[in-house]
Amino acid sequence: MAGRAAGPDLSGPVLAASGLFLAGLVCLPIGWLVAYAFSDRAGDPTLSNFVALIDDPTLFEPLVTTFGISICVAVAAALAAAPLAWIVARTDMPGRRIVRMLMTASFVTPPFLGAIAWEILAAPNSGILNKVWRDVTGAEDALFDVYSFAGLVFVISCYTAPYVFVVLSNALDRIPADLEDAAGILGAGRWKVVIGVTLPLALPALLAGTLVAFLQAMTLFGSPAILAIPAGFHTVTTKIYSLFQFPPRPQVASAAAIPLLAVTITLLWLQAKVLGRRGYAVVGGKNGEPRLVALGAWRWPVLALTLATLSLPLFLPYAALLKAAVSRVPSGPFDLANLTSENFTFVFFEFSQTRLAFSNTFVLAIATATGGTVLALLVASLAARRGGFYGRVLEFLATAPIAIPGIVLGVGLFLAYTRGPVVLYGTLWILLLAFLTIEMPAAFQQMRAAFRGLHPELEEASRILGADRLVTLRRITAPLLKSGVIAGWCLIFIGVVRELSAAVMLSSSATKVLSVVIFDLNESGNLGAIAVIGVAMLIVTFAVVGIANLLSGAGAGTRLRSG
Amino acid sequence: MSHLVLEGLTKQYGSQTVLDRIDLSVEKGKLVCLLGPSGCGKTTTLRLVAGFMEPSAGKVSVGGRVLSQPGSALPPERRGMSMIFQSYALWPHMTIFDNVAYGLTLRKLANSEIEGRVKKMLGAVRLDHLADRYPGELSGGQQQRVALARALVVEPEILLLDEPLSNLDAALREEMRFEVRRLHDEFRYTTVYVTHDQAEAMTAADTIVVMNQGRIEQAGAPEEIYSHPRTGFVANFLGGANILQGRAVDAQRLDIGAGVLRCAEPAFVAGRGGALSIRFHEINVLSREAPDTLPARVTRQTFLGSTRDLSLALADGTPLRASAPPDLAIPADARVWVALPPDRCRPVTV
Repeated sequence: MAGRAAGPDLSGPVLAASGLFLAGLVCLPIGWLVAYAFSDRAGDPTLSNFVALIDDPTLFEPLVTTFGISICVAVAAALAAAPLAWIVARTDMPGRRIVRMLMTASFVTPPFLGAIAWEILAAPNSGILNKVWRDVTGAEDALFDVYSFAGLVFVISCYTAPYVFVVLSNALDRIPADLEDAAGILGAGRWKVVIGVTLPLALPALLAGTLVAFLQAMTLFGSPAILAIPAGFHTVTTKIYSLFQFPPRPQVASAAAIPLLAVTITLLWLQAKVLGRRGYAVVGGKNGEPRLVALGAWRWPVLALTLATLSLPLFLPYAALLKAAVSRVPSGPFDLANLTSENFTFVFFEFSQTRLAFSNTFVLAIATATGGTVLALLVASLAARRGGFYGRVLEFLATAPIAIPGIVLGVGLFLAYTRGPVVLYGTLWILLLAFLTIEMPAAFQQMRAAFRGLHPELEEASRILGADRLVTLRRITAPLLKSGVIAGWCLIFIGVVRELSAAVMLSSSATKVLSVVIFDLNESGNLGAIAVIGVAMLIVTFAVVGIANLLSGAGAGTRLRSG
Repeated sequence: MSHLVLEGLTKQYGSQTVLDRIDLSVEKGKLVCLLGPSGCGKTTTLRLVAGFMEPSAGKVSVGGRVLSQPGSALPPERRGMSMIFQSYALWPHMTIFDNVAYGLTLRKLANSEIEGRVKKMLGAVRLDHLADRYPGELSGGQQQRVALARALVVEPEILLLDEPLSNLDAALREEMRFEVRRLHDEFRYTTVYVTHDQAEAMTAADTIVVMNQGRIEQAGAPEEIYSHPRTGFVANFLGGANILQGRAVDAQRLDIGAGVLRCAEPAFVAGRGGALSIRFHEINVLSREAPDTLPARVTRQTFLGSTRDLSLALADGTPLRASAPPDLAIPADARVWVALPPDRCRPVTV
């Protein structure tokens, strides 16, 4: 008679608990949001908030503006990213690996920091580029005005194009060479193959990436708050934010959040419907290395163009930030008189909020990354291995927050936790909840991908030998998923550090995080301090991510040690 | 005494029935092979026994205790079973020793005992020198033996094997067939072995259960199943056979159109439809007419070394396959006569 492993199977309760928790994460804030949107100040049901949304031009115009910005950004991001993705994935341009790395790295740049950097570069009067332009040409007018519709579209595009780029270049990597060869053998020339075969195959990915860019542009808060408000117009997100300033009108703000939510849900649903099945069916499989197009004499001009494109989200803004960090006047001349360490002294020794914000941010980032990873791991394992109806429900709950814009979630959580029974406003917990919710879909998708690469029989072998689900998770699944898990952890960590739109709704004076401090400093015009904090923030982020990867590398090393 | 018993075991996915009322009992210490083409439900049966799935109807019991029935299935970890998987499922992050020791560590045995038992088991599968290696460093056959050791070391009540040899090359597969049988003779675990390879089943099994489309076609000892197939499917799947259909003249004779064939065993009902099977090598191919023969035409012939494979067509066009001695050289399109001995013509249902 075989011995039996002791201990009850806890997977049922764990499944139920994580399901309930996920449901709570999504349903509580959204429930309150909807409830507020349909009630008046006294709490009675009404549609007047929505009527106001259409009747009141100060509420209706932001809707139109937001829609316009999103379309322009989607088009601009696709136009900029598509050639770049193709060049990097499918040509022999020198340095294309580095270009890809830099493009991916620009993800780490928080969009609000990019927007501030572009203020330093292209504000109509003090912007460095405009000053140079005036000095060189003697012109009176500014060359660029970042405080404008076009300026806003440009800056947002800079930081949404990487989404299109990553999705598209990954898809281009996986288009099997034999599909292109087939066209080649039938007599199609090189460019005919690119246009007739490669592009149509990559089209679903291009559309998917463009959709992400559209949704990003629509739900972004930081960049419009920094650039649109000085320009005298609002987007939906900034309008929602201002509706919470004195005198607060939470009912109208909730109503204004509903269209954002509805459009996001509709578009994601459409995408799943249209692209889900067909999109990646061909793109996949193992058909060897993709064939690279030889650029010949064009390689250097193409490289120059690529670097010029990269300078917009990366080189110019970072140069501006670094310069601002060590200058008395950010846009002042490059000379010793303007050189200073004042900004560092101010940030690290005088400014009271720095230390608190740094510790809040990194405590929250580590807590969210750890908690989110554990939760995503649990949910992905239950969903992947248990399958069935409950598995699909869990999967849905974990991915649902993707359809909730940060600012909308911020409003919902604000409404849900500023009243009894659980008052969390003013604590770090409410931020933790917000970040967990926002990061859950990405974390879950990362874990699910990792699980799909794991043969189910590896777990079943453990089960049949006497290990229950949790022991199996701990001893078999978790070690095998380690590198995927650490990648997921880093993803969440970076996401939390750069989050602004929910944080700005939810943090109070004791729970300020870096993004909010930067946002506040921008309102008071202290660009030098922002530059110092921003750069320090990025350095710490890279350090943490580096350490995490080092840890996973060490793990792999011990695994591969052999006799 | 029956140890593992399946009663009316059924598995449905929505309206699709993948396993239809399976009844089977396995005596303690016996090795039973579930044999059938892919999609016949054999792996589903195995996974139901293991507890990875819950039946839609029927039950699985071991030693009189019900382990699975609709609405309640004991989880796999509490069944005291072991399983060997098609992919071997060795954990790549553990050494061979740790892989084999895993089940014992779950049983909270003393380290010294674990070490002793693992070493003994690795010795039994002749891998004691590789204990510190990782699975990725082993050949397919070695990995297979680790999987065997890992499953056997916990002294399972029941051992389950899911197409364990299908990832090995032909030579190794033959070697491992005997290895599986040898280890079974040594340890005598009640074993359920799933395969689609009849040679594996013939070598390893005490009992072969031929499955098709979610049902059991026939169960019995290898020899019995081979020599007395009850259905056309079994005759064809095990060893290959001609299945000839026609109308019964009387209890023993069947009119197949091209002629009347006689079976030694009375099984037909006069005037009703019937079928019989005859194996390829049981047909005698003659170059001239003789009593009780049917004329045929050779449509294709293939020299296979030890035999000569003939494709024939009877007078009415009914195709027939026969294997003849290699020195019987008959040109294609030649006219031949075939004798189908009554004691080789076995009535079957189709």
